[in-house]
Amino acid sequence: MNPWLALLVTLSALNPFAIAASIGPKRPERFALLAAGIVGVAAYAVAAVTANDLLRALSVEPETFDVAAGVILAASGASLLAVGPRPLSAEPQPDGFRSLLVPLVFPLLLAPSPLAVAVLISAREGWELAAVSSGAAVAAALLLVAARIGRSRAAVDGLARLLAALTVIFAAAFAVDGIRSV
Amino acid sequence: MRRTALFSVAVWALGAVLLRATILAPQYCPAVSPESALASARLAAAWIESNQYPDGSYVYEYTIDSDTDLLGYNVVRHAGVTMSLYQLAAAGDLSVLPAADAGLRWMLRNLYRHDDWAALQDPGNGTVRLGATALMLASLLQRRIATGDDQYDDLMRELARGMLALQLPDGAFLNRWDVAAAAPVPGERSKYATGEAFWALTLMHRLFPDEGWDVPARRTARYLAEDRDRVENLKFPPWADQWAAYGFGEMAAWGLTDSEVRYLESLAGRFGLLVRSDAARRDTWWSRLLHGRQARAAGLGTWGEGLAGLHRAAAADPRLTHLLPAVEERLACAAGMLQERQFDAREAAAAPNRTRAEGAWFTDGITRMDDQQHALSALLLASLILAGKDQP
Repeated sequence: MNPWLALLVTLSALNPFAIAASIGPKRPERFALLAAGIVGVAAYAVAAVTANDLLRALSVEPETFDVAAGVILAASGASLLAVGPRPLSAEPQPDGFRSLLVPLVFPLLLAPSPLAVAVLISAREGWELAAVSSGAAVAAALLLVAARIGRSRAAVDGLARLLAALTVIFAAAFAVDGIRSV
Repeated sequence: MRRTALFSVAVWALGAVLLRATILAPQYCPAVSPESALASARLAAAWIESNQYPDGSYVYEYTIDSDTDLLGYNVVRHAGVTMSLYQLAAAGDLSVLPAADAGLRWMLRNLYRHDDWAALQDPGNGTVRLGATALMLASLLQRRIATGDDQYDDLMRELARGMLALQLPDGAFLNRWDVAAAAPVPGERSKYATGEAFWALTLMHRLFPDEGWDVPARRTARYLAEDRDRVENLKFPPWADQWAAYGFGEMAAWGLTDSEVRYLESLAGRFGLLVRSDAARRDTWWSRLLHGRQARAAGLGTWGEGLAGLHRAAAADPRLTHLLPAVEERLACAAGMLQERQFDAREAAAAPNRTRAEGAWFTDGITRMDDQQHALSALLLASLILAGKDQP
């Protein structure tokens, strides 16, 4: 997997457009965005660095994990494709420090699909590529949120579904790859 | 917002549990060493020796629950079991030659001859099938490698010509010779026998390199790599054919075509998947429900044999070298599982018939002679590969 493909896979799995659509037109405070970015990048870096140890601890071969990652990506991509991004801006926001974590870090930035992709890329290509592509995807998501592109609801919804469709394609590729690997 | 977070946590947890129970179930590969794999292979050979009748045939099938030998016999499996003993002899353990030679004499008494060729005939129903002849020839070839004895060289040529009487112009083989009509049975093919015949032809070329056995072998190699799965309508291709892997392992040194390399890569993936899947299975009702029953030794053994054949091909062809680490890992896993599932002396001591139990593999309380055959071959080849030695 070359670095550009790794970045594209991570971007489609994290889906910055879906995150921006979920946050909506509201712009979170600069401090909140920064803190969310740090927490997000750190979490993905940990996932990337510990991917092989994690798979060993789970007694799962990387090739088997490819199949599982395919299932995770297919499920999240297909549901996003079918239902579209869910706006969270209407729901009451928590106060204080919790507002940094919910919903921006969790469940939007830290989600099963991009985490699975980070582990998969790390196991295949090394943790550096996984950490860099995850970091880039997190940065892209936060930039879109900061730019308040969630205001253009229809456009963002369409772009989010486009990335979701791409995710489903990658999911099929990973699953087939895992099945055909030794 | 709290509800959103809780809902997400619940979905994550449910998904994690589902994945862990199914696709991401822990895979267990017991530790194995060259020495322990060889010891396990020898124990399997000891089962075959101890369970051989005076006429050279073997106990075909046995159920431990009622301590009963089950009726039936299979001439192709007889030839396969004998071949596995000769493989062990070819790897240096000549102590099994008396039992293997007794098995060979049984086959020699059941030869069918026509024109200038010979074949192994089923004494029970009189059929002359390709697989039986191919594995008898493979037995003789392994014997030749083990002993250097040339007394059966002419018979080997006759048997090889017997196989060619069933070969089609595209390299495919028909499965059966109709004795009454003195002609091949048209349209009947076997997903096992073609690979068996292919391997035997490649071994013939190794031992008799100036006689042109490579020409029909190459025809069959092309058929296996490019057409077989489609023409014979085999589901979920590539068919996990360990005999083809043996043959290509032998043939790789002659030079492989690109399509053959692609076929071997896909075959490696298939064997790898099968071993990985079985490593996730346990002998519990829950595991059987979610993952299916553990493979019987005959199945697991064939995957190990296939991986060993591919290892040989990968070591000979630079285009396949990238497969070596994974193939070795899966082969070690298969050998470890076989070793762990074998009835050892302690378990056999508690069995109703120690002779029938020790060194055998049981599935649902039943062992069949080819369980021991394929497991023996896989463990032997794994022990050689893990020790960095050449395969016979």
